[in-house]
Amino acid sequence: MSADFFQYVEIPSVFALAKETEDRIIREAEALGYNEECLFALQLSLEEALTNAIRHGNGGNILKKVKVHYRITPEQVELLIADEGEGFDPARVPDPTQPEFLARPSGRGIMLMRAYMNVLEFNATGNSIHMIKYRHQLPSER
Amino acid sequence: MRQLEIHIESYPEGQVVRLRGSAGMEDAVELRDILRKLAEPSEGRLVLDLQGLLFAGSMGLSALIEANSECQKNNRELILAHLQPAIMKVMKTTQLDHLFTMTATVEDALKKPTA
Repeated sequence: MSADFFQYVEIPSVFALAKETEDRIIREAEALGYNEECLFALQLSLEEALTNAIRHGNGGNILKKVKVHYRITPEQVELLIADEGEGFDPARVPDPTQPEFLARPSGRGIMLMRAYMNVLEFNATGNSIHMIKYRHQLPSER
Repeated sequence: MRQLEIHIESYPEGQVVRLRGSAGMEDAVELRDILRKLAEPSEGRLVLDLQGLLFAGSMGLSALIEANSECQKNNRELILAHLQPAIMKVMKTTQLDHLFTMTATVEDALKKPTA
Protein backbone atom coordinates (compact mmCIF):
# COMPACT_ATOMS: atom_id res chain seq x y z
CA MET A 1 0.00 0.00 0.00
CA SER A 2 1.39 3.39 -0.98
CA ALA A 3 0.59 6.36 1.26
CA ASP A 4 1.45 10.02 1.27
CA PHE A 5 0.53 10.17 4.95
CA PHE A 6 2.13 8.48 7.94
CA GLN A 7 0.64 5.29 9.27
CA TYR A 8 0.87 4.71 12.99
CA VAL A 9 1.41 1.60 15.09
CA GLU A 10 1.81 1.55 18.87
CA ILE A 11 2.99 -1.65 20.56
CA PRO A 12 4.01 -2.78 24.04
CA SER A 13 7.70 -3.61 24.49
CA VAL A 14 7.37 -7.19 23.23
CA PHE A 15 9.69 -8.62 20.56
CA ALA A 16 6.95 -10.70 18.90
CA LEU A 17 4.83 -7.59 18.34
CA ALA A 18 7.82 -5.60 17.15
CA LYS A 19 8.54 -8.40 14.68
CA GLU A 20 4.95 -8.25 13.41
CA THR A 21 5.31 -4.52 12.83
CA GLU A 22 8.64 -5.04 11.09
CA ASP A 23 7.13 -7.73 8.82
CA ARG A 24 4.14 -5.54 7.99
CA ILE A 25 6.32 -2.63 6.85
CA ILE A 26 8.58 -4.92 4.83
CA ARG A 27 5.58 -6.53 3.12
CA GLU A 28 4.21 -3.12 2.15
CA ALA A 29 7.58 -2.04 0.73
CA GLU A 30 7.87 -5.34 -1.13
CA ALA A 31 4.41 -4.84 -2.63
CA LEU A 32 5.62 -1.51 -4.02
CA GLY A 33 8.50 -3.26 -5.77
CA TYR A 34 11.45 -2.33 -3.53
CA ASN A 35 14.37 -4.59 -4.40
CA GLU A 36 16.01 -7.18 -2.14
CA GLU A 37 18.86 -4.91 -1.15
CA CYS A 38 16.47 -2.18 -0.02
CA LEU A 39 14.27 -4.67 1.81
CA PHE A 40 17.30 -6.10 3.66
CA ALA A 41 18.38 -2.58 4.65
CA LEU A 42 14.88 -1.79 5.89
CA GLN A 43 14.58 -5.03 7.83
CA LEU A 44 17.99 -4.55 9.43
CA SER A 45 17.30 -0.93 10.41
CA LEU A 46 13.82 -1.68 11.72
CA GLU A 47 15.24 -4.57 13.71
CA GLU A 48 17.93 -2.38 15.26
CA ALA A 49 15.63 0.56 16.02
CA LEU A 50 12.89 -1.61 17.51
CA THR A 51 15.21 -3.74 19.63
CA ASN A 52 17.00 -0.61 20.88
CA ALA A 53 13.64 0.96 21.77
CA ILE A 54 12.50 -2.15 23.66
CA ARG A 55 15.75 -3.12 25.38
CA HIS A 56 17.54 0.15 26.02
CA GLY A 57 14.83 2.81 25.72
CA ASN A 58 12.01 1.07 27.55
CA GLY A 59 14.28 -1.26 29.54
CA GLY A 60 12.19 -4.27 28.52
CA ASN A 61 9.20 -2.92 30.48
CA ILE A 62 6.19 -4.26 28.57
CA LEU A 63 4.00 -1.50 30.03
CA LYS A 64 6.03 1.04 28.08
CA LYS A 65 5.12 1.57 24.47
CA VAL A 66 7.06 1.79 21.22
CA LYS A 67 5.50 4.17 18.72
CA VAL A 68 6.12 3.64 15.02
CA HIS A 69 5.15 6.12 12.31
CA TYR A 70 5.90 5.04 8.77
CA ARG A 71 5.26 6.28 5.26
CA ILE A 72 5.97 4.23 2.17
CA THR A 73 5.89 5.89 -1.24
CA PRO A 74 7.28 4.64 -4.55
CA GLU A 75 10.36 6.83 -3.92
CA GLN A 76 11.21 6.26 -0.27
CA VAL A 77 10.39 4.62 3.05
CA GLU A 78 10.35 6.96 6.03
CA LEU A 79 10.33 5.69 9.60
CA LEU A 80 9.93 7.42 12.94
CA ILE A 81 10.38 5.15 15.96
CA ALA A 82 10.02 6.46 19.51
CA ASP A 83 10.22 4.88 22.94
CA GLU A 84 9.22 6.06 26.42
CA GLY A 85 12.70 6.02 27.87
CA GLU A 86 14.84 8.89 29.07
CA GLY A 87 16.87 8.92 25.86
CA PHE A 88 20.62 8.95 25.35
CA ASP A 89 23.36 10.80 23.53
CA PRO A 90 24.20 8.83 20.37
CA ALA A 91 27.50 10.71 20.11
CA ARG A 92 28.65 8.94 23.27
CA VAL A 93 28.18 5.45 21.86
CA PRO A 94 31.69 4.09 21.15
CA ASP A 95 32.75 3.03 17.68
CA PRO A 96 32.20 -0.77 17.71
CA THR A 97 34.91 -1.29 15.08
CA GLN A 98 37.66 -0.07 17.40
CA PRO A 99 39.84 -3.04 18.41
CA GLU A 100 38.92 -2.76 22.11
CA PHE A 101 35.20 -2.99 21.28
CA LEU A 102 35.26 -5.48 18.41
CA ALA A 103 34.56 -8.55 20.55
CA ARG A 104 31.79 -6.85 22.50
CA PRO A 105 28.46 -8.55 21.85
CA SER A 106 26.49 -5.29 21.70
CA GLY A 107 26.76 -1.71 20.44
CA ARG A 108 26.42 -2.16 16.66
CA GLY A 109 22.81 -1.07 16.10
CA ILE A 110 23.38 2.62 15.41
CA MET A 111 26.34 1.91 13.18
CA LEU A 112 24.32 -0.55 11.09
CA MET A 113 21.41 1.86 10.72
CA ARG A 114 23.79 4.62 9.61
CA ALA A 115 25.37 2.29 7.07
CA TYR A 116 22.14 0.96 5.58
CA MET A 117 19.79 3.99 5.62
CA ASN A 118 20.13 7.23 3.65
CA VAL A 119 18.97 9.50 6.48
CA LEU A 120 19.29 8.83 10.20
CA GLU A 121 18.74 11.39 12.92
CA PHE A 122 17.76 11.41 16.59
CA ASN A 123 15.63 13.93 18.42
CA ALA A 124 17.34 16.09 21.04
CA THR A 125 16.42 13.70 23.86
CA GLY A 126 17.59 10.61 22.02
CA ASN A 127 14.38 8.61 22.49
CA SER A 128 13.12 9.00 18.93
CA ILE A 129 14.84 8.08 15.69
CA HIS A 130 13.98 9.26 12.19
CA MET A 131 15.19 7.26 9.17
CA ILE A 132 14.70 7.37 5.42
CA LYS A 133 15.61 4.78 2.80
CA TYR A 134 15.48 5.98 -0.79
CA ARG A 135 14.37 3.52 -3.41
CA HIS A 136 17.21 4.53 -5.72
CA GLN A 137 20.77 5.03 -4.60
CA LEU A 138 22.11 8.55 -4.60
CA PRO A 139 24.82 9.16 -7.21
CA SER A 140 27.38 9.47 -4.39
CA GLU A 141 26.49 5.96 -3.16
CA ARG A 142 26.87 4.16 -6.49
CA MET B 1 6.14 -19.12 12.92
CA ARG B 2 9.79 -19.90 13.57
CA GLN B 3 12.15 -17.60 11.71
CA LEU B 4 15.27 -19.68 12.34
CA GLU B 5 15.94 -23.39 11.94
CA ILE B 6 18.94 -24.92 13.68
CA HIS B 7 20.31 -28.36 12.76
CA ILE B 8 23.30 -29.88 14.51
CA GLU B 9 25.50 -32.60 13.00
CA SER B 10 28.55 -34.34 14.43
CA TYR B 11 31.68 -35.22 12.46
CA PRO B 12 35.07 -36.58 13.53
CA GLU B 13 36.50 -33.06 13.09
CA GLY B 14 33.82 -31.40 15.22
CA GLN B 15 30.24 -30.22 15.13
CA VAL B 16 28.46 -28.46 12.29
CA VAL B 17 25.54 -26.20 13.14
CA ARG B 18 23.43 -25.38 10.11
CA LEU B 19 21.42 -22.17 10.44
CA ARG B 20 18.55 -21.54 8.07
CA GLY B 21 16.26 -18.52 7.92
CA SER B 22 16.51 -15.36 9.91
CA ALA B 23 18.47 -14.68 13.12
CA GLY B 24 16.44 -11.73 14.30
CA MET B 25 15.16 -10.42 17.60
CA GLU B 26 12.76 -13.32 18.19
CA ASP B 27 15.26 -16.14 17.72
CA ALA B 28 18.55 -14.62 18.84
CA VAL B 29 18.17 -15.59 22.50
CA GLU B 30 17.51 -19.24 21.66
CA LEU B 31 20.41 -19.20 19.20
CA ARG B 32 22.72 -17.72 21.84
CA ASP B 33 21.73 -20.39 24.39
CA ILE B 34 22.20 -23.25 21.93
CA LEU B 35 25.58 -21.99 20.69
CA ARG B 36 26.80 -21.31 24.22
CA LYS B 37 26.01 -24.92 25.12
CA LEU B 38 27.76 -26.21 21.99
CA ALA B 39 30.83 -24.08 22.75
CA GLU B 40 31.43 -25.89 26.03
CA PRO B 41 34.72 -27.81 26.42
CA SER B 42 34.79 -30.66 23.93
CA GLU B 43 36.90 -32.18 21.18
CA GLY B 44 36.94 -30.65 17.73
CA ARG B 45 35.92 -27.41 16.16
CA LEU B 46 32.53 -25.74 15.94
CA VAL B 47 31.50 -24.88 12.39
CA LEU B 48 28.49 -22.68 11.72
CA ASP B 49 27.11 -23.31 8.24
CA LEU B 50 25.52 -19.99 7.26
CA GLN B 51 24.56 -20.92 3.72
CA GLY B 52 20.87 -20.79 4.62
CA LEU B 53 21.08 -17.75 6.87
CA LEU B 54 19.43 -14.90 5.00
CA PHE B 55 19.20 -12.28 7.74
CA ALA B 56 21.02 -11.44 10.98
CA GLY B 57 20.51 -8.35 13.07
CA SER B 58 22.83 -7.24 15.83
CA MET B 59 21.16 -9.60 18.32
CA GLY B 60 21.93 -12.50 16.00
CA LEU B 61 25.49 -11.25 15.58
CA SER B 62 25.78 -11.06 19.37
CA ALA B 63 24.97 -14.77 19.62
CA LEU B 64 27.82 -15.53 17.19
CA ILE B 65 30.25 -13.25 19.03
CA GLU B 66 29.42 -14.79 22.41
CA ALA B 67 29.88 -18.29 20.98
CA ASN B 68 33.24 -17.26 19.54
CA SER B 69 34.38 -15.91 22.92
CA GLU B 70 33.19 -19.04 24.67
CA CYS B 71 35.04 -21.26 22.17
CA GLN B 72 38.25 -19.25 22.67
CA LYS B 73 37.89 -19.62 26.42
CA ASN B 74 37.57 -23.38 25.97
CA ASN B 75 40.43 -23.65 23.47
CA ARG B 76 38.09 -24.52 20.66
CA GLU B 77 37.94 -23.04 17.20
CA LEU B 78 34.73 -21.53 15.83
CA ILE B 79 34.51 -21.13 12.05
CA LEU B 80 31.79 -19.41 10.03
CA ALA B 81 31.27 -21.12 6.68
CA HIS B 82 29.48 -20.25 3.46
CA LEU B 83 28.17 -16.77 4.27
CA GLN B 84 25.60 -15.27 1.92
CA PRO B 85 26.64 -11.94 0.33
CA ALA B 86 24.16 -9.90 2.42
CA ILE B 87 25.47 -11.38 5.68
CA MET B 88 29.09 -10.94 4.54
CA LYS B 89 28.33 -7.27 3.87
CA VAL B 90 27.06 -6.88 7.46
CA MET B 91 30.24 -8.59 8.69
CA LYS B 92 32.43 -6.26 6.67
CA THR B 93 30.44 -3.16 7.67
CA THR B 94 30.89 -3.98 11.34
CA GLN B 95 34.44 -5.29 10.73
CA LEU B 96 33.45 -8.54 12.39
CA ASP B 97 35.18 -10.23 9.45
CA HIS B 98 38.38 -9.39 11.40
CA LEU B 99 37.08 -11.20 14.48
CA PHE B 100 35.86 -14.46 12.98
CA THR B 101 37.60 -17.19 11.04
CA MET B 102 35.61 -17.70 7.85
CA THR B 103 35.71 -20.24 5.03
CA ALA B 104 33.90 -20.57 1.71
CA THR B 105 32.43 -23.99 2.49
CA VAL B 106 31.75 -26.30 5.42
CA GLU B 107 34.17 -28.82 3.90
CA ASP B 108 36.93 -26.18 3.93
CA ALA B 109 36.15 -25.45 7.57
CA LEU B 110 36.35 -29.11 8.56
CA LYS B 111 39.60 -29.65 6.63
CA LYS B 112 41.25 -26.41 7.72
CA PRO B 113 44.48 -26.96 9.68
CA THR B 114 44.11 -26.09 13.33
CA ALA B 115 45.03 -22.46 14.01
